[in-house]
Amino acid sequence: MLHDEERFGAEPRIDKGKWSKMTMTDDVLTGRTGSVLRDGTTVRDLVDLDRREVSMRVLSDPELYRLELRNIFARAWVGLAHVSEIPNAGDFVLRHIGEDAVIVTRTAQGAVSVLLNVCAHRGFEVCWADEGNAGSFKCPYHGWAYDGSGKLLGAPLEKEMYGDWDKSRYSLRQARVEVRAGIVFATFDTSGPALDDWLGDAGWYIDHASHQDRIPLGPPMRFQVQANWKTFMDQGAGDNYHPLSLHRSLQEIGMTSDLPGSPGSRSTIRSQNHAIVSNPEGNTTFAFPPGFPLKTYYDEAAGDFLTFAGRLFASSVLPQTVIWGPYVYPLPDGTQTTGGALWQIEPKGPDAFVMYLQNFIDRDAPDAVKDAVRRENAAQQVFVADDYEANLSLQRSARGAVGQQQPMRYFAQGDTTKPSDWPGPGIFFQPPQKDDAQWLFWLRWLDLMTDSAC
Amino acid sequence: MTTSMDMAAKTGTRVKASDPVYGDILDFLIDEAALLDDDRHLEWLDCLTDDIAYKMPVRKTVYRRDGNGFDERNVHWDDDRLSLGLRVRRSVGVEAAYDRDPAPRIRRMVTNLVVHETSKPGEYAATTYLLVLRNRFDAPVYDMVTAKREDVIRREGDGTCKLARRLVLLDQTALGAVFINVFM
Repeated sequence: MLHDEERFGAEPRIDKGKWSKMTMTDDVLTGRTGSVLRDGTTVRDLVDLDRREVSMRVLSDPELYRLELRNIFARAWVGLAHVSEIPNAGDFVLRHIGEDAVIVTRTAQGAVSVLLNVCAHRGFEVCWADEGNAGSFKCPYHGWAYDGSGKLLGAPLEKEMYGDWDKSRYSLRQARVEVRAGIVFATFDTSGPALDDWLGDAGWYIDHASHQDRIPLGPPMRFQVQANWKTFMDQGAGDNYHPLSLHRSLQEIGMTSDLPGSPGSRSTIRSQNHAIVSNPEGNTTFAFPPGFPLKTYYDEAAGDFLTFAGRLFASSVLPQTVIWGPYVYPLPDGTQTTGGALWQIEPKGPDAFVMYLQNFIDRDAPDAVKDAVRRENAAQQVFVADDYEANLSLQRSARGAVGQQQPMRYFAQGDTTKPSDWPGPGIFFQPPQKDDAQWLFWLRWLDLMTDSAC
Repeated sequence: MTTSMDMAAKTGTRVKASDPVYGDILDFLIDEAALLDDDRHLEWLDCLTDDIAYKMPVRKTVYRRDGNGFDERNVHWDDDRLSLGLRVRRSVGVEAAYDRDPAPRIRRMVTNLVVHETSKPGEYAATTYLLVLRNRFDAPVYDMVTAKREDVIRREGDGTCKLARRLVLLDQTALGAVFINVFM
């Protein structure tokens, strides 16, 4: 159970000077071109820094998508799993960094290890299950076998085949791993920034949103959305303008009528209750300010749902991670339990992503509470359904040759004055939040896509 | 992992297709699917018992030694009458439910009905296969889901049936499209 001191007491750990590449000024980006696409357009041409516009071509061009896999996903830190999913040596779950399948496992020595699911011999996948326990990962093709750290243990007929060979040269490719706030993060970029630098100020909020004893209720719920991954992550990067229109159905069925504003009124904007803080790393946190009263989202529409609310942080970390928490569930006896979530947005080609939804709850929460939270989380999707309509529609719009030339516009600029009592780091956007946080997402996208270091 | 709803009920003898009880249940399931396909969701609610339990667990790909992959610790749906009512409210007469207007064209194919008696008089375990096809806008292809449904049907003396439990066992681990709010 979290108290305010715990939640807000920690000092920001971010050293701004750590990664000088992340200056993100227009000056830096203006001077870059990035790759030249087949028709002569450069990546840089797709973003208009003066007008704050992004060409819809970035949603549907397969050439750009391949560049993203290399320039963004292959160097990104990605939140893959919760440590509690692999408590014992040999436990594993199969997840993805971009389109690369990775085994998240625990070694015999107890370390968390993330391995590319590709045999070092001929490229066959060494693991075919979403989860399980394995003493070793044995490739079905020729039988090479690896331990949990990716080390090659042996191969059939190895003396006859390879004589006196140096097995240490043929490990599974191992990702860099860091466990933070109970979440296993990994990257395949061995020389890139530390996780702390990748998260930027979002790290502080993630530390408050998640921890090792707030554990998944179960394995992920998964489904595919026929839309580019950025249609989702761009909205998550700070679009607080859409709920009024896109989520109007919530008000129509009474799900938000308890929010401030006139109860049940269509003029209620949920965004006025959130703070948005962002950072040049392209990550954004939606947060309720400290002292914000606990709200009950579901009591009226569905009286037996647990009330869930306040102080909710949702941190969207480029390119495929969203970490939620803490949800606060007041219990009938006056105590409370807390929850959260890990969402992964796995790219599956330029025009598809798979949503990965995993909900967390305090390890020691009573079973009845876990059951209620499980039901509530499933029902939450009722209104998240609206968001996928936006993803799908943008993707259809970006299909045509003319639609691809259409700009997505982010020209509304707001006030970034940070309240003196705001406890966390980051660039603060005063409500009503405008397009600034999302624009930072696109600047960071452009930064990664045009960085000559790639 | 097997699920807790894994039909502890299905202990009784099989009800043959020639039995009038089988016919009542078949009629009920066909009519129920038609109510949903025809957007008569409020009437569909009348097909449910007050203590309806409606569950769709997630599924994992696992090695055979680890079972069939169903895991009810996380769910696509875990609903009772109240939350089903909420979903129905969103499905009818809500202007801004954008996945509902223009109306999606949804067709539910219900087949392979097998009925067993249960330990409770008047309650039957009914297993069906389900194919759901959905088409929207001018898409030349369908969104598609297949599943096995394990239902408990409560049959009154006059032959009226109501759905008391539904366990939807999906054939996909990751659904191929957004099927939130599509009743299976």
